[in-house]
Amino acid sequence: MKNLKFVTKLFLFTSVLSFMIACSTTETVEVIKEVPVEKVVEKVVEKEVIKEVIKEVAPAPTYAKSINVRDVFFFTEGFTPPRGGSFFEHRISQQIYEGLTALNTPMVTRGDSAVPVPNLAESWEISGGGTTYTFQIRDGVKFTTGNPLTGQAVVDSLKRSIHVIELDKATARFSWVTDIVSIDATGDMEVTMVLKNSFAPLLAILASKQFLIVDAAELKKHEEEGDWGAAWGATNSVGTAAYQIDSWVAEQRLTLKRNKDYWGGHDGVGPGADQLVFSNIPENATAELMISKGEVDVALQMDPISLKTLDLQPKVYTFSYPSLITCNFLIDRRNEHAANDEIFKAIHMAIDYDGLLSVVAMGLGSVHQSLILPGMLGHDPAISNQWKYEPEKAKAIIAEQGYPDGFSIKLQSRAGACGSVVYTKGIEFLQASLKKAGINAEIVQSTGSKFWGQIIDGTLKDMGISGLGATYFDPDNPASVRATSECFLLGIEEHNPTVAAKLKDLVAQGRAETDNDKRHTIYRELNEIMVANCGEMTVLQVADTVALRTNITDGIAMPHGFSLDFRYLRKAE
Amino acid sequence: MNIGKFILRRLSLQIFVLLGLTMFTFILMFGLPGDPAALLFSAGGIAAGMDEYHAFRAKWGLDLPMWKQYLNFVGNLIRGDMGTSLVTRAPIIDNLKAYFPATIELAFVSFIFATVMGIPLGIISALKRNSWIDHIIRAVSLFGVSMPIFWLAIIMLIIFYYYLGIVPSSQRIDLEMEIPKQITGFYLIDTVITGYWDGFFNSIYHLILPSFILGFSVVGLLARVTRASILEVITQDYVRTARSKGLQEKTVIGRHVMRNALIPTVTILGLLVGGLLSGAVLTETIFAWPGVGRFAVQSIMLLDRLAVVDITILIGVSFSTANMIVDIVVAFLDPRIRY
Repeated sequence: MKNLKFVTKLFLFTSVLSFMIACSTTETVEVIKEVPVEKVVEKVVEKEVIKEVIKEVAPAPTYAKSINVRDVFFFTEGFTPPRGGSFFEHRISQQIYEGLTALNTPMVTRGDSAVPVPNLAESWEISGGGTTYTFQIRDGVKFTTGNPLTGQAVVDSLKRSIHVIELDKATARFSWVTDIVSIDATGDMEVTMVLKNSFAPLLAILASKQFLIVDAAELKKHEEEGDWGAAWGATNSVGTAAYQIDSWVAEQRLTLKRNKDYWGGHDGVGPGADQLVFSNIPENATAELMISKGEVDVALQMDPISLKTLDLQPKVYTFSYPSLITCNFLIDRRNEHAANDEIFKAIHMAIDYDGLLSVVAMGLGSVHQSLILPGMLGHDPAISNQWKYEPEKAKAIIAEQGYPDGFSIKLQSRAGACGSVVYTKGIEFLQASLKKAGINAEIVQSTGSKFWGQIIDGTLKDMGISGLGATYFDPDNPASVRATSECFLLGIEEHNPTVAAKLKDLVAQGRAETDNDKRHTIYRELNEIMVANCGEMTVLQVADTVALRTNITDGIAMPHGFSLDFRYLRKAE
Repeated sequence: MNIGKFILRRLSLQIFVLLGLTMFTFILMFGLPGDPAALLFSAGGIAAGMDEYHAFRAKWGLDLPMWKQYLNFVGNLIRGDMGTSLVTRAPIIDNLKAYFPATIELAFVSFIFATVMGIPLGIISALKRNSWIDHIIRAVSLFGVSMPIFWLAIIMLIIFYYYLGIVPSSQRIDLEMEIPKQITGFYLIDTVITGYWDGFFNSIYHLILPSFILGFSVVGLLARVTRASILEVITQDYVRTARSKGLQEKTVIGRHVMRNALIPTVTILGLLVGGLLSGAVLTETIFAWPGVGRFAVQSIMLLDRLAVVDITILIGVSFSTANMIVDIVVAFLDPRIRY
């Protein structure tokens, strides 16, 4: 009996000991797992004994072939440049087409200054005082159609983009194209573009959607009514990028497959998955359940509340990156109150920027009060963060200007959102914010079309809200769109003709100047004038946030701020 | 009047109904403040292209007075041209061909589900009046009628998709499966034609939850109407006579009670088609169902006037056709009705 007890105790002791050893071995294995593969190899050389163990526990990572992505489809004119204006179309175009230049993705994600880097153009030379650009085209690149990328193919692609822009009567939006004197293949792999005037934003524009390189010869085969294949290209891809369209079913699914002949990209990163399946899941609650359960791996376009909920899920994480979208409050400078410069200043002081960011935008973004964004030449934090919420000071200024009891104003509320800021919530918050400064704001319901119609007609009497984005990552974009257009529609010319003339002059100078340091100074000045005078008051820079399963790594945003760069995504199996 | 003449008369009246419908919707859409071109152009910085904006308005006839736009629309409609969408830049007929079959498929299966469930439940409830079964059915019916679709759909998704994992989350077919080749646009038909049986069964699987959600509210209504109707008929003298002459109970119920009691139920079925089509908008959004409902919402939001009018016409035609069929069925059920 005693023996039996002893044997039992011995058995239990041995079992516990074995278990502990086993556990300690596992711990070691787990530690080794976290060591990068190269270091593990070094250890193998040092200690022959653990060689086999390491080999077993640290196999080369394997990645899933397919990544499921939740998106909200908004299809207008399709994916092939220069057409397609929705964020969704931009997002997809950037996965299937490439430009002559590119913006360094990780650099822009960090918010550093972005300078165009070589992409399909291996190098370039600017001569003739900024009027002649000579590009050396990268050798060995193929379109997904099998045709090689040559100087002539690039020329055809650029000419096709201009052709379609003219066909769509969209030249006003790309006014610089009328300055093009010639685009010629000056060698097998060389393209020369001559412009009438120096045009510094060109390199950034060549990285933007409208001038991404397409196989124009293939598109020509599908021409209908002189559209150079624009209609066919809406749902077909003929690019050189990491992915190509495999299938498209409207409102349901878009499948992109790996381009087998992909040349590797300007940063040497090839696609991590063989296919990307984009599904149209409009309802956030449904998408939230799908990513929580693992049916989708990446969820784009989630609302802030869903993102906060998903942050609590153990197998999901969220990732934010600055977008090119800003939220803005608009007021016409011809408005009886806004026409007074002091009251205009007081209105700036009557906006609770931090509250708006934390309460309405749920922290997804940053306070930003100017048109030029971080990473662009001309950006200066001292200008972009100059206004503070000082309701008492604002109240005093308003009283000094002859309104001791404050004044009344109407706020137009409407459907829509700029990033995580739902317009109705933004307007309600503004109303409460203004109230503390003695401005009695009444909310009136409106529509986007009414609001913009009034801006165009110059009849906007009320204050409103809008979200605006940029189409290329250069200060010329916000400068040309806002400084010389929206600012003018909001009455700057009638309010202060000197400032209006100065703005126009600075935009022209910024375009012509090729020296980056000088451009920085020009845009800094322009930005300062805009913030002080323009009726479009930028309040926030919105962040794009995506939700990802924890087995998805390397989420890196694209520099245009519309999406992740899907080449980087890896899904561990 | 024979049935052929009746159908012809109804069809000719339908033309006037549709004309009225187009005019009414057109006026309503134009009554909304705003300019669709301004809305579309606001996305990319409108002022960058004021010339472009005006050219756009001229190209799409948005600068014409309303009556001219309406006459143009009707003229084109008569020639079979439903116009071009401002948003998708594609012929609206193509959009409707792509989206409407999904809505019809969902509404049809919901309709079948509602009919198969609602009428028998109403009958059982009436025949077991004031019993516990009756109370349960009435409670469930009331629940079905009163629960908002979006709330019910999300709760059902959480329980049956997220926790139990016995139904799919959304869309018409699994993400891993190939989308059937479009022939008619109805997956249940296209998969059979192409012999894509996995797709067929998967499509049925995907229809379960959305059709249940959409049909559930209708089940409650049908059960309540059927119950009330049977209770009214069952006390009639001719039913007592049928029983007193020794007919079996199932014959009394099946032949004498049901035939009369179902007339109000069948009449309401026609009206429910409208409810199912309009209810589909919410169901489609939650279940990512690529139907006409989402297209309608998007068109309304972007003031795509022609698209909204065309969708209204389509739903109007479906609704009035369903009611015409109901009138014909009622004539067969009730010999007193003659056309």
